[in-house]
Amino acid sequence: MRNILSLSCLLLLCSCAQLHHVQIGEVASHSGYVQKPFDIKISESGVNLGEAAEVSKILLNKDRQKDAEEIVGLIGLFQMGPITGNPVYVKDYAKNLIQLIYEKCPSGKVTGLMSVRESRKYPVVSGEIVKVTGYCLVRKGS
Amino acid sequence: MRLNKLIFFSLLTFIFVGCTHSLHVAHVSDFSPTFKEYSKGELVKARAEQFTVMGIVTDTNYVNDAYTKLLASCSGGSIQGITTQYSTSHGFFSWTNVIDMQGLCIR
Amino acid sequence: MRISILYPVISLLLAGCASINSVSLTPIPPERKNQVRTERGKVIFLGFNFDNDFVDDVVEDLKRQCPNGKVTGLLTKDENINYFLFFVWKKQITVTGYCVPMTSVSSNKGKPRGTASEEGTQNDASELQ
Repeated sequence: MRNILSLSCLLLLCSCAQLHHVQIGEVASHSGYVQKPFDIKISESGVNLGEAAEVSKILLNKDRQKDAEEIVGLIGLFQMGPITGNPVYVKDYAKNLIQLIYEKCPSGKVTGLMSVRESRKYPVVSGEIVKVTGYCLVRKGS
Repeated sequence: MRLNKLIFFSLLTFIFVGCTHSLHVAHVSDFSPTFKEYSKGELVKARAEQFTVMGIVTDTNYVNDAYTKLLASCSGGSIQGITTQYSTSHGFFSWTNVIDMQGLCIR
Repeated sequence: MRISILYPVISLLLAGCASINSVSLTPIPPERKNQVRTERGKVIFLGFNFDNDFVDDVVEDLKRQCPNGKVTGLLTKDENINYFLFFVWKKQITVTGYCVPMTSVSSNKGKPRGTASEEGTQNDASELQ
């Protein structure tokens, strides 16, 4: 029980933000328009199996620790490849980005776009985030 | 006890075994100079993949393939708001690199 | 027998493994006659790299190839090529795009065209209206 409690506290308190990529586009301004800021955040859960094995050391007895490590090693063989942040189990989670931008700015008069790929890391799990911020040019007085 | 162990680890394996993916880059291009509404254009997509065993590949031409496909899907028009995503689908001692491009074709 | 093993090993070492670091693409113009391309690279031994200045003249090179227009539809590819068991690698930037001439831009102001960077903001603004 104490172990679970301490683990929960750890999960709640420890979070690290990690920036992977940031890119900024053109910034256009015009006297007839005001810039209305918007932001879009798409997030998916990532899992770090190595850390899961480490955490299992706190929760499991020695026999199971060894088994857990073996399982993590075995799973790791099937999940090889370059990673940015932690791997996720959902493919193409950011595929509707363009539609989301149009939801925020239906006129398509978008400027000052900043695309950010970042991770919000907790023990074992992480949020794999795609963030897009920008400005929607709205005609003055409308 | 042994059965419990078996169930526990089967469950653990079932939860975590599966295809994992990693999104490396997600970039959105400008909407200038066209600045058109969604309904005024056509959504065009291009995707290219490269399978590799332990990363042994000598080129990255699949990126150019996706670019060429995108250009071909909007001949004579301009493309605004292009999202470029580069990701990897992981596998057994191998993986697949994926480039996904989407944009609004304005003719 | 030895040679048959040696050849694939040597060719594998010399060929190098290519991987992408990042890719980006800017809006694509309707005119795609004048393609511009530039490539810059740097070989790095054992990770000893003290600057990334090789990237700096990419823009200048593109400007040289398109003196009176706007370069757009730019595909920028940043890749690593690893040689000799990852002891040596090459950082490479490849940029491909299109030069949209100013004359075609100015004669088609109302149409969705690319513009030169300076005038672009004004034209973009007129496009907004």
